[in-house]
Amino acid sequence: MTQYGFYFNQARCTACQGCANACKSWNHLQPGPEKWMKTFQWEKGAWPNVRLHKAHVFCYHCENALCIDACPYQAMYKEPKYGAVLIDSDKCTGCKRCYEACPWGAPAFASDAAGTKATMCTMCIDRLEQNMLPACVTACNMRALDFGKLDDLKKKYGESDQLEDFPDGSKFQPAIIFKKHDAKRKLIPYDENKALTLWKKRPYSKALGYPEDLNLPDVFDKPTDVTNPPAEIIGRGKLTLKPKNSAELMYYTTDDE
Amino acid sequence: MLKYTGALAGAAIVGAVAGVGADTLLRPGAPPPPPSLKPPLAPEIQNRVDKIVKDRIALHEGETLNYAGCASGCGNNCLLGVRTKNGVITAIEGDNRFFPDTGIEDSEATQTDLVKHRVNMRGCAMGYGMNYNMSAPSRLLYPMKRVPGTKRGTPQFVRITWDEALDTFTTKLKETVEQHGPYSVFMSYGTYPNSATWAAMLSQLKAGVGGWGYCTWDTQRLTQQIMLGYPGHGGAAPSGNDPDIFNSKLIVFYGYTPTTTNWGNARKYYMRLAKEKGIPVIVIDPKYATEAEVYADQWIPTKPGTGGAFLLAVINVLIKEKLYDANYTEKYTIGFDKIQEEVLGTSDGIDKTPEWAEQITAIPAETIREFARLYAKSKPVFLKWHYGALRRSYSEQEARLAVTLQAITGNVGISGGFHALNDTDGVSMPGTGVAQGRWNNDYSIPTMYRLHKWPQAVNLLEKTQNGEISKQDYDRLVGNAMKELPLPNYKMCFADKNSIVTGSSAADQAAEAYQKLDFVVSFTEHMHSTAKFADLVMPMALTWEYDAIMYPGTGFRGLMWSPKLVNPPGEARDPELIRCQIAKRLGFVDKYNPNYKSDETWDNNLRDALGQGYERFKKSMEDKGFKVPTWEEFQTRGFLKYEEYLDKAYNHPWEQIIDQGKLPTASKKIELYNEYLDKTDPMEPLSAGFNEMTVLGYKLPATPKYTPTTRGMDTPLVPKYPLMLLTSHSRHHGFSSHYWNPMIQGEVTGQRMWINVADAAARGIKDNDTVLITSDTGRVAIPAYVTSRMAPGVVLVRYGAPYEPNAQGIDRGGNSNTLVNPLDGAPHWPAGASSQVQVEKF
Repeated sequence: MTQYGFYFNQARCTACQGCANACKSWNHLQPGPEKWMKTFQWEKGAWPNVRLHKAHVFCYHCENALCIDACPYQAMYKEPKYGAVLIDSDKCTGCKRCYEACPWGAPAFASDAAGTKATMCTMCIDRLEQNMLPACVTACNMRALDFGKLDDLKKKYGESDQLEDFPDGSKFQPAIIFKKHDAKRKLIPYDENKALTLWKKRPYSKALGYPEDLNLPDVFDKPTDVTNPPAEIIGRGKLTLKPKNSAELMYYTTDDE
Repeated sequence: MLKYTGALAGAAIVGAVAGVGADTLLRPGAPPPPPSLKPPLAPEIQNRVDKIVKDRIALHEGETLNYAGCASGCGNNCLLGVRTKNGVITAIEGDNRFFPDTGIEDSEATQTDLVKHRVNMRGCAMGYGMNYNMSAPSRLLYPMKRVPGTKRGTPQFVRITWDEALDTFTTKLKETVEQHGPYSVFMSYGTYPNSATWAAMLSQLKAGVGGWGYCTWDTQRLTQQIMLGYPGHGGAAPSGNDPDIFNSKLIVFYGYTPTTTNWGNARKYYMRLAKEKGIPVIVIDPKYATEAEVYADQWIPTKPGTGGAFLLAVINVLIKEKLYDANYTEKYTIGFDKIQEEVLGTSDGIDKTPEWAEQITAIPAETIREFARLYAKSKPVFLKWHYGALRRSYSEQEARLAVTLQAITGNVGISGGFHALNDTDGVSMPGTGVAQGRWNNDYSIPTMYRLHKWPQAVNLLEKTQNGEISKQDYDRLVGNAMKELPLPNYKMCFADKNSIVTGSSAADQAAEAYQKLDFVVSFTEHMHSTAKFADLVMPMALTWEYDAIMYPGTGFRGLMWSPKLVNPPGEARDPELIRCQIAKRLGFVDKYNPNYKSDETWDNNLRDALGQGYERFKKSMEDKGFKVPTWEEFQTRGFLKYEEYLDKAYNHPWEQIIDQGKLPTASKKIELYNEYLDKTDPMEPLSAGFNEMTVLGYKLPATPKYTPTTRGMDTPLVPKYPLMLLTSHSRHHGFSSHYWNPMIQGEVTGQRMWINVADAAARGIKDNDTVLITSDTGRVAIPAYVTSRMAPGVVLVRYGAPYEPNAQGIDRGGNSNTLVNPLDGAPHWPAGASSQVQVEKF
């Protein structure tokens, strides 16, 4: 068996969800939580030292797929031509064991109703059979996704990186090569503490060129209000791979751009 | 259809090792081991797999695949693969015909491929979800008129026939002009650039009033006129094309967000390639935008609206340390001495040092100083300073300083250097010459208001007529460029395309203005905020429901085919057909659009006209010695890129133009100082090479200065409205287009207000809490996005959401323009796109 797989470059991805909608379009999935391609954004750090992480969760078609073993109804198969993991909807009962077993929570459900069958990424096996790349790959306007024989991809892009906050799924041998986002580099000096002190003040004086002298209130009380915020108030402040229900899934997989 | 061959591959070894794989978990009490679910598969499992694959393939059987240009109201057009079956769009996919074996063209492309722009024109969530926009529940299917006695703003309509709709429109139009004169009918603006065709039609009637202005573009457009003499209101001064970015040595974005605005089909991709080629990138922006994450080596946050102070300080360092390009400055610019006076404070006594600027911008002085030094040694520099950066008052001065920085460092008109403003690639490609509506050249439609101020142009009429405000104040407040004409007498209004209410500053005032008119017509596709105010609603067709040739124009040059793939739903009609039908009723369809022969033949008439236009284009190209695909080949490919005919990256030859004495400024050089402005009455429409429609409304300094914004982080309004409001566009809806698309709203995004964690915590707000946002013009209640990506003291509400006031007058649709004040400053400022607000938990 030749294992085919994906390549995802986190550094290039803008999390625009073009891939997600192209996936829905190709696979005739309705708007809603049945997302075969879930785009997650999560922020880390505090202003002005913040990073935006992003990744797509879909079936990585593990060579050692835990979901297949977890399914009590033998409704999941490892297909031999490309190594795709497929769900047999005739056998699936919607018990969600596969979702629980998958380290990333790839299987999708159209609703929270009991008995809703699991569906998921098929590797676009129908497109592969017609010499086309998966729909998500050809959709990406930042060229963050690729597809091919896993060995070829490794030759082309090197070994997979561990994405920050992602489960270490290496023992399941996911058929995907991750490339993590770039390290930032300071081209010119920038003193964050001084910047925060400057940001706090609202200057309004004739000496600086304003029309009059005014004493305006500060922007915030103290820099730690900005740099040490209460975690529980932040939106998408952490990666939540397996939302508890559809509403939560939609919350974590929409963005505010 | 190809047959699935996996069964054969599997069958060859099936049976050899049937049974449980070694990696299968054995559960206590489990039934007997199942047949192998992993290769080698048990035969019955292989059959199941075959069936799954067969069913997936069957899903797309019988489809036709066309490549078609996308129009979503964003910054460009992409080319999408659109599959149809039985008259319905069944799937939309990315184009992968360049380098079909990889998703990542640059993994195989040569430098020549990149220069020739041999990359696919891929779309985004909007494009791939387009069919859901076309079939959205909000889509208008039939002409409708208002239920008599119901109030404008409530969607109470009754279906009518097209004949009744067109007859009513035509009769009302003629009656209104006859009874109330030529200035009684006006067009509130559409967010697509086809309003000009309405103006063309009205010019045949010798009646009607139009507006001027293009929102975010206006101050940079004014700047390109002041400094580069680049005239006209319809374009952007050229600089370089996408591949020329690779020739830069430093890339700086200031408030520039090409991924958010989808600006340039491949520009966002080329920008990232430039970074990967090792070109350093600095992003300066108050928020940690996607661009700060994806492109920036270094993100430097700054207080919004203070860019002028930053630029003055950078120039201050360049002058004091003699780091500017003295030869270039001498040869290609005038007014450097005046800039020097401003920068060094000779005139006002304030030396604009980094220490001065840090207090205003919150960028530390040593950062500003090192930025200037890095800048000076990094020529050529790609600088982008427009869109978001300029959506505020006095932003023309900031834009002028940005071009000044590029000019005195010798970065204008050199390969890898860009002039800082919005640009086109500048490549000169022949057009097709297919006009929709034709103008009556004997008559121009007067432009009597700035587009976004049409509600004020209506609302302030009464006060002007009864002398409460002077005519001069009226002209200044609404930007009336035709002050020699009598006051208009607005009775009838029609609006084209997306939500005009959403697009006007202070939506409550737009709602008020609509109630004052006799007759309101909306030509549109969805039941949106504007349609709800109409007396007559005309349902329009969307892209892919009629033929069009598109001209994608940022970063590369080309033609794109956007054919009719499906019929419009219900009785919706091609907008140009509607106009032809109106022109026919008015008796001048032959003059207005000679392509129109009859309603029945319209589709063919349109395609013939486009085909003839393509042949004209082809002939011009062949005259240049280029081989061009046939009309049929073009339709199959879906696109033509002019870059294919170029051998190197393009940058507009500003230097050469100046050398030849052909720059159309008064001095024939780049004007850091502009004498004309010094002498112009700010109430006179600009003329003599300037855009004759623009009324400045305030005295523009001859040399740019830093003037604090009227709505910012440091204004006298702070005690009441302590948070500065930004109203950036969204990447998930172009203006209001796609706002009603269920594959967008709720699916990939929602309308929420960005707020910094410190501001949220101080107000007891946590993520997703609904908040009440109050400004001096209105109230909006939407959920909050609490994030450290937003600057403290600043909030952001994305532009384009509908205006949906509840019984208390609180806009629950989340329209950002409910919160911005249109009377706050000069008419050419971008729609007052910034404001100040207070926020509380709702």
